[in-house]
Amino acid sequence: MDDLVMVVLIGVLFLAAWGLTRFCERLSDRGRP
Amino acid sequence: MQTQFWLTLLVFALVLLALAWPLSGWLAHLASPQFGQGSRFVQAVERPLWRLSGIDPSSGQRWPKYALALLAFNALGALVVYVLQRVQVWLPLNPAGFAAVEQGSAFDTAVSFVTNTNWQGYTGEQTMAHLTQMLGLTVQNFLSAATGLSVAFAITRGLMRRGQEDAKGSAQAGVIGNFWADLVRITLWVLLPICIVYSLVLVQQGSIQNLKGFAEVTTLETTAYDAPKTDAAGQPVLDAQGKPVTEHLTTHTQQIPGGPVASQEAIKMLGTNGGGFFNANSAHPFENPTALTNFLQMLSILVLPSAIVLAFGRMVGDTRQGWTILAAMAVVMVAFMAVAFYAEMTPNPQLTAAGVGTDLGNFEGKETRFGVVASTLFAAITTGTSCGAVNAMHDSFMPLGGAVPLSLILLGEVIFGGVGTGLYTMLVYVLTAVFIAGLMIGRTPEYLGKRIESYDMKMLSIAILLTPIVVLSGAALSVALEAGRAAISNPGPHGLSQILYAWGSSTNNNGSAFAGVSVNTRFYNLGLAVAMWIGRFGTIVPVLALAGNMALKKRSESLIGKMPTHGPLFVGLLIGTIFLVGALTYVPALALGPVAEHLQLFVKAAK
Repeated sequence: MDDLVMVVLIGVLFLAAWGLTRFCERLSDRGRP
Repeated sequence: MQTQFWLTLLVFALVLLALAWPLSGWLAHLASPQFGQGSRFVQAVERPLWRLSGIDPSSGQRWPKYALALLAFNALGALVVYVLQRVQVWLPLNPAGFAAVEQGSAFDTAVSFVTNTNWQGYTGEQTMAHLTQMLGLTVQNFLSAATGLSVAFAITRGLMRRGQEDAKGSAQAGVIGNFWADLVRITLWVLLPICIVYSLVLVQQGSIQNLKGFAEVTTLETTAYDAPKTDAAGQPVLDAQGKPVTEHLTTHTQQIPGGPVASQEAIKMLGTNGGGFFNANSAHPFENPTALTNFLQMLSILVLPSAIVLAFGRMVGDTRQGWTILAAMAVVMVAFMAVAFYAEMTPNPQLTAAGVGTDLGNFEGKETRFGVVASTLFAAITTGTSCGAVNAMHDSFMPLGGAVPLSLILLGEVIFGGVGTGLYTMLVYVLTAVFIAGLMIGRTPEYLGKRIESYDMKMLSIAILLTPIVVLSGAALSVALEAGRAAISNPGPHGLSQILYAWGSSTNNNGSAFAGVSVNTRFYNLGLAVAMWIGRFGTIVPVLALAGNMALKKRSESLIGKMPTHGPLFVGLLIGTIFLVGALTYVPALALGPVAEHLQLFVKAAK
């Protein structure tokens, strides 16, 4: 059970970093009409 | 002793520069699109790798694609290291028969090594099988260092692009390199060759390199010692007052560990990783056997962080830019080294009053083979960079001596910093300094001909603010919760320093410990792992976004009306910005920790 939690946690950390990437991308002024 | 300190420092600086300058040329060549085009050998080695992986190293990536590749690769790395630790009991090369690493510790270690932190809540020689050390930890030492250098390459490319390719819709617009090409080439043509030679030198000096388990040897003398008594369940036996009961024991044997130490040691230092094979890290004679290896270890920590800064100057076509950044790093480093040295040369007044002081300075927690000079130099170097290897116990430094490694860590690992991370974090401060100076003198903030605009400042703000938020929130949480306070071995100001050091070291990806704080608990294992991840990728992502945005901008070649970003004035401005932004954030916490402890110690002694 604990192993599953830890593996999911690694996935969550990856998604959080990817979320930050998308956030920074959306903040960009470029590409806006 | 003072002469020894300054002379060592001078020789060290000269040797460092002699190595870093040629290496910077190689790094700059490696980062260029022309790399390998004229070399049959390079092509013969690389071509099978590209064919096997289906990667075209010449195809450029814009920053989101570069970031996704980097994040996915590192998350996969964390998963592999975690699984390796959990299944090591069934795998070969485990001569001591170590069990699977506990889940929380395995998670913490996996994130720690992937993020180049190498924070260790476990005792290496009593926990990790040789296969885990080699396939998990050592491999990540290479890959995390290569990841850091890749990001440094990416931000440099963003700044050096001249904008002529940036017509809208152009395939090259906003391209900052190819993560896979950077990762492979740095590992293959920089880290591996140096580490092979370095490992052999370490072996020649006395480091071990084998696949053996523990060897039991008979000692020359019988050793008598007191050990805590345990009951049948392995729990400590307590007396009526609740204190642990000890028993007097003697032994005439000693367990000597074996293992592939030299190969891990080389990349541990060169990649500014710092995770030791042994719990004693570089104070252990198998990791750091002689005075020469101690010198080489310090040198190898700084050589790549220095070389990449000089390579930056070469790549942007103005070597003065690299020298300026290096000068700012060197000035702050030497100042901190001097403070640590003079603090450690002051004997502990309480020991002096008790009649056991020594005129050799504060010798508590120092390896006698190295003494005060080599220990303080090592401490400043290992914490100014993101290395975190230790050859002395920082917890036993005098309060102000201990404040030096703590402050260097809290500054954000910019005083040389880690492999690649030092340059890109320093560039965050450089751009902030240019922006602040632009506001002060009423000129458009511009660095290397690229204007610093609103979006760039947003990315810089994220990169600068995320780390202190995590460090201070984590430290506050640890002080507030019983789970956090329980780990402190020395309550009072020193306890706060221990906690602040743990969160600072993890979030800034240093990995050294103040020791004394027991962090192998679920609270710290999970909390610090999350902090390491945020500290690493919470900085890398906005830096890559910055790189991508800078790559899209046209580079103005006109110097009229522009503030020069080289020379002593800019060095001063840069140092001022680092202290203004980095250090001021932590002044209240430092005042309650090492400063309060210093005053307590010396005021008590004066009375």
